[in-house]
Amino acid sequence: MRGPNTKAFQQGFLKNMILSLQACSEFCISSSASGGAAMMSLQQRKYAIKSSADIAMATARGRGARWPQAVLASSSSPSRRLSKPSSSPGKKKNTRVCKKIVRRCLHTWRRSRGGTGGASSLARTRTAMICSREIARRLVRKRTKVLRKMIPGGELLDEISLLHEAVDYVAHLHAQVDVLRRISNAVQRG
Amino acid sequence: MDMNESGEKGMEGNASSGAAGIPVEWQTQFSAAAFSCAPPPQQQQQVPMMDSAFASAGLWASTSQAMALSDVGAMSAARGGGGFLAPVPGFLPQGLGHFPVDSGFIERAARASCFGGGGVMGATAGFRATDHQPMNNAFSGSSEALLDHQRKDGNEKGEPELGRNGHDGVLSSEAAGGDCSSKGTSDSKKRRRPNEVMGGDQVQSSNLPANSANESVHSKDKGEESSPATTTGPGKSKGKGAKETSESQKEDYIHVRARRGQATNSHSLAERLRREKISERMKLLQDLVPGCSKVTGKAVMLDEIINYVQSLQRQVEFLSMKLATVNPRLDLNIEGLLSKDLLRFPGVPSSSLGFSPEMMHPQLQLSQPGLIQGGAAGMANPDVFRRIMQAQLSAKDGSQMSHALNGGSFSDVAQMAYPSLGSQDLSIRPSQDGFQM
Repeated sequence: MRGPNTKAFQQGFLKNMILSLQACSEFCISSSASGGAAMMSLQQRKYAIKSSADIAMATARGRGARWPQAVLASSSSPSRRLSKPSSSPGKKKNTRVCKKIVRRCLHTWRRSRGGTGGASSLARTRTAMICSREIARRLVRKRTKVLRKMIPGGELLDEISLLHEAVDYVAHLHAQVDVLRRISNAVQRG
Repeated sequence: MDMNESGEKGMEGNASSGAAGIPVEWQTQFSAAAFSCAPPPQQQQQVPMMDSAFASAGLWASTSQAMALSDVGAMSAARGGGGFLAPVPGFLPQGLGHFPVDSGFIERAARASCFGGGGVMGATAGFRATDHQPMNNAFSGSSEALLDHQRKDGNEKGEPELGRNGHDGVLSSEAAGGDCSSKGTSDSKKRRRPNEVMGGDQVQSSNLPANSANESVHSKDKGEESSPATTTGPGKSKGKGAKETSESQKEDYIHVRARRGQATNSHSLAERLRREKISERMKLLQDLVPGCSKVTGKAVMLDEIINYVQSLQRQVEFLSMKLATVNPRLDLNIEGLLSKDLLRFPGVPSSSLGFSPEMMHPQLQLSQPGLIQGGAAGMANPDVFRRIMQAQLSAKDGSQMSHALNGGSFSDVAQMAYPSLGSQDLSIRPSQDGFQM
């Protein structure tokens, strides 16, 4: 029953999703009852469904990973988004600097590659290797940053547990997509 | 025989003096043993006898493999050599009978097993090509088992050689044995041990992150770097001989063994361990992400993972949009949905599906006890769902009505959500509402 592809997880997920959607519809009804007919727009509904799916997945996950906590925390207090824009200028600068360095590396590498003919091939390959290694390292770092953003709660983790969480999260996302697809097919049919 | 006696005396002397000079004597001991056991030809030259010595050593090793592995370890030590020298002349002509099991030998073998195991392995390596794999595994397993038993001795073991060349293997084993012996008498230090088997249990190794917080790395400062460059390069010393693989004994420290020819700084060991953990996780991810079997390298793998996660998240958005278009009121026609959907899950009886939604409100049927223990993730009350959904929707809307309804800040919701879990009376009831797990 541990894996996310088991029937138990999917049933639990389904149950939770129904609960949350019910809560959502009750909220809708109550809000409309007090202030008149306020139908939710498509965007609102979509957002409600998506968040209820995320919450359902997080709660059905049980213990054993960090991302459910982050999902629930972010869903309970969505006002955290204000802090994000402040950090982006700094990040842009870093990425710009990184790009410059990478470009310079590539330039020197290409120049060294195309410049001297046969002599000092060893030095050339060494600089080429060094440059490519640094480039690879930078790429890895960049992508790790992106992955951190995408996985809920990934900002705090180190590389190893980040990959661990990524494995877990990917498996559960897969199951979530599966259940949602089934729901939508069932709703479409009847 | 003279050689035998002198050999024995030499060996006793060596054994008593400790591990210091043994590998130097190793060849002579073997030669002495062979001398004593080579039945009919009384060979006087050293060189051709060494071949037979090592061949016979290989024969001994191969037969001992049938016995307990600890015997092998015992045999591999110098003391053990002295021990079986005596019965050898009697046994060998009968075709390598059993060697006496002596726990004392085992202990001494454990102390000297770094070069002992390596020595025997190196000695037998070149001459028993077919027996390589099982023997090396046996030796490594035995030496490591012995080390596990004898961890209290605290001797830092050098790497056992998996030398595969013939004479070069012998030479390297001797040399490294010499290094090991010099360090074998150093003070006891903690070793790091990874809880992973090379090319094996990845599930168990996933428990590592919990342990790694506690681990402390401590290793020798003196070089294994100083070990002479031999033909057995670092590429060969991989696999089981390089790490202790017993996971049953979990300690605070994770023990790792430095590979041959690689630096044994604490930093580099930690680096290497970390790198291996990362690569192992990458392998797991490779299996999970479709179409990544051929990809090697961290950067490309990470790219694929990012793309896959993005695509999955986009799929979730798309499906939720689709669901939002289909039902305008978010009611989801629960019974109909469940009757169609759950019937596809095998083993769910249709008769139990006749329930009303109100039944689900009072209790949440939890089938996973883990949910109860889980702090944040175990949500038992529909009220919590309600609060969270209210928080979500009102945050999105930003309408005044929602504020009036909520009457509180969103952080309160979060605080309310989590403490309520502890106070919940969670009961696991047999499926009343048809959810069978």
